[in-house]
Amino acid sequence: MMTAETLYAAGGVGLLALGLYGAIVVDDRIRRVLTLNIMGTGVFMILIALAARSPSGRPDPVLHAMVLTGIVVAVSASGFAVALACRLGPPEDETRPVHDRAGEDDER
Amino acid sequence: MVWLFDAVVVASLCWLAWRAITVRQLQVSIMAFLPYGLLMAIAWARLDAPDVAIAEAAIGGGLTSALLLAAARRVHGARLNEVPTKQPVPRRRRRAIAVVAAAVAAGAGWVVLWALPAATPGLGPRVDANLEASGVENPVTAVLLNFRAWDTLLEIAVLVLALIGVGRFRASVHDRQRNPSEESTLESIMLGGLVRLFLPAIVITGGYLLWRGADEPGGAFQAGAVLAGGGVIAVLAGLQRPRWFAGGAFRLFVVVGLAVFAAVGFGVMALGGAFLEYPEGWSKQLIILIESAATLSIACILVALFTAVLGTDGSGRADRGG
Repeated sequence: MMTAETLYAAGGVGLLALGLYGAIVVDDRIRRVLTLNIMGTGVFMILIALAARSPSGRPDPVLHAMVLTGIVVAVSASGFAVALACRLGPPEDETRPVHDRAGEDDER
Repeated sequence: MVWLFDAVVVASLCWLAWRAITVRQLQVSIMAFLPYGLLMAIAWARLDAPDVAIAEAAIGGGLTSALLLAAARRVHGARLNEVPTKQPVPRRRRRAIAVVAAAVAAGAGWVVLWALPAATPGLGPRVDANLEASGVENPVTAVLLNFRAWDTLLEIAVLVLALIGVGRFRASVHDRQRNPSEESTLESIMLGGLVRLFLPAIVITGGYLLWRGADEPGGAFQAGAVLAGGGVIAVLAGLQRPRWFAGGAFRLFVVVGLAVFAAVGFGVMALGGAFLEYPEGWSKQLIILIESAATLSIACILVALFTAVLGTDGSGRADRGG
């Protein structure tokens, strides 16, 4: 039977996988932080869907508290990460043709 | 029919995530992340998690997007809107990564949808059994501030550490540089005026969430996040911070949550209990005290993280590499 919880749990799994794919594929450091956030929200969604499985209809508050903690830690970690990304200075010149860069994209 | 609503929400979330990952312009990608956070809050409200939904609406939807956008401006400057000409990851490698991600999804999906029991009360009954002794009626607040207060104490320590990490502990909450040429434009006047109109309502909302959080959805994190959102738009509108709220006073606000939390923890030890074991009859008062201090700290730290990434300080000097 497809309940709302299973639907959202499946959605959370999908977002987790999308975020993982994005975190490896993207080549911009800011966007990598964004994709890690997508991955994190996927995990949060799974946890919240699991909390809603209770037969009494009252969701598990411990999982909610864990996710709440997770959200705040995620935003502080993201802030720290993008602050570090700013310190790295300007990105390498993206207008340069790919074949100029030795050792990169060798698999083309 | 409500399943249709759920299906649309989940499908939209996946589509927005896909857009945020694949679209070429970084700015469009971050713009997709903003409604993503808001939809996520709606999804969690549907799953009976209003406490988490409020926090996600303020933090996931607003603050994280603001942080990312500020960082993107700083790193890419004027080229933020350009479509990068750099070759994306080769198709073959992308396929391999997609296979890996799909395998992870299959594993996680199997655990979540089949391996775990379909219905379990989890720790809910044990929380309910002890709710009366916790001093508050909102079970999530009871877990955060009483049963698992250790976690929350360390979480606030993580926030302070993040701020120290970005090198902003010694600095004050910085205003955005007032650009004289911007000063007189209609937009800046209207934005400043609107923000002045909204700020009192935001402060009242934060205070309400904090106070009602003992018994209803809400609490220190939601209140702090809402206040931080108000702080961020005040910074963006170029409002000047009050003179008293600089240097020492700001540092005090940053650490007051951690300090009060730890002081209560050790204080009850002096009275004969364990660390953070509130004496009987005092739980509610102590929880409200800790939450009030934590709200101020969370709001200040989140705004300061944002101004650190925005990269301006009181003199309007960019501090890149400093």
